[in-house]
Amino acid sequence: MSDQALVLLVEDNDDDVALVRRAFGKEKVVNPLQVVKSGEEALEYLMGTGRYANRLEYPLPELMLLDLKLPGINGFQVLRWLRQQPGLKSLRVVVLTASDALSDATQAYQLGANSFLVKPIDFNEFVNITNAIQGYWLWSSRSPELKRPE
Amino acid sequence: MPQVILGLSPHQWIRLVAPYLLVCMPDRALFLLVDDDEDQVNLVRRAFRKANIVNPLQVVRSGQEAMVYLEGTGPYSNRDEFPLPKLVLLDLKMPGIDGFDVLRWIRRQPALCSLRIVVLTASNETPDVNLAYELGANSFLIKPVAFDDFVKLTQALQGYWIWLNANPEALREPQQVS
Repeated sequence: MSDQALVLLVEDNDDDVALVRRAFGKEKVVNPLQVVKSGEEALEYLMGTGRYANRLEYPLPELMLLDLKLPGINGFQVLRWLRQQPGLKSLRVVVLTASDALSDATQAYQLGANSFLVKPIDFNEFVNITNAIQGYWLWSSRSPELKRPE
Repeated sequence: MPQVILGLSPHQWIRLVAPYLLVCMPDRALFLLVDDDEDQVNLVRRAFRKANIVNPLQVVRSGQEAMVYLEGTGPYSNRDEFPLPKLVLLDLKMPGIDGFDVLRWIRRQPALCSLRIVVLTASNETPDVNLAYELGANSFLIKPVAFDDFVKLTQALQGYWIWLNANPEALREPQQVS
């Protein structure tokens, strides 16, 4: 819970990545943002393997923003995997997705998402939502201790 | 506490959640407070009032009562009068069935799996934080000591969980009539 707490964004759409980056960059208090473009990369990052083996350079996040629609391993599968990892299962996950379908939200919660936010279309609203995300999850809400496998 | 989330005006919040306003009626969303300590309950009531939060606040004074309420049995079987909450504020330290037990129980009920639970406690103990998340708490908040900070925290709670966060019961399939 600090301005150094890392946010991991799992998002394959370059436009949406740019939107989040811009929204994060607009504020005075900016938490570091790590972007991965697929479910597979998310797993690799969280495990601290492959290109993310340098764990000092690639620390564990305190919050994961997770899109549902990803090529290959999708957001639901990432969630399901995450909640089975002994040291990582408590990572806070905010699903941030274009879908406002009832079934997607229900399934996300069933799989253990902490929160479900629908991506706004308007940029100013996007900024507001990223402010709220930072404000609530990184500054107000206490985060658990996480551990990667050795 | 940084004003990041609280810097948003009500108007900005409303613009964010306009699509859901008619459906989920944020002002009617019920908070369920689970706390055995009378002083703490009064503190929350006062903070809600000071924060101009008009949402109904249902209080249960034990883990046991929380379970009965959420089951909708006994004195709470009338769901019109005692609806399921949009957000549970859960204390940890209670005699008998404690907050952890309540968490464990809730997450085993298929009908309650998407219920949002925020642990709201004085405890800043890391093991408590870890266990709460492990047992399925959505979020963990430490009660601030200063009343003004507590008021801001309740505003943040209401703003994030009632206005912003998408709740399955508020989203609709296209064909449904609200």
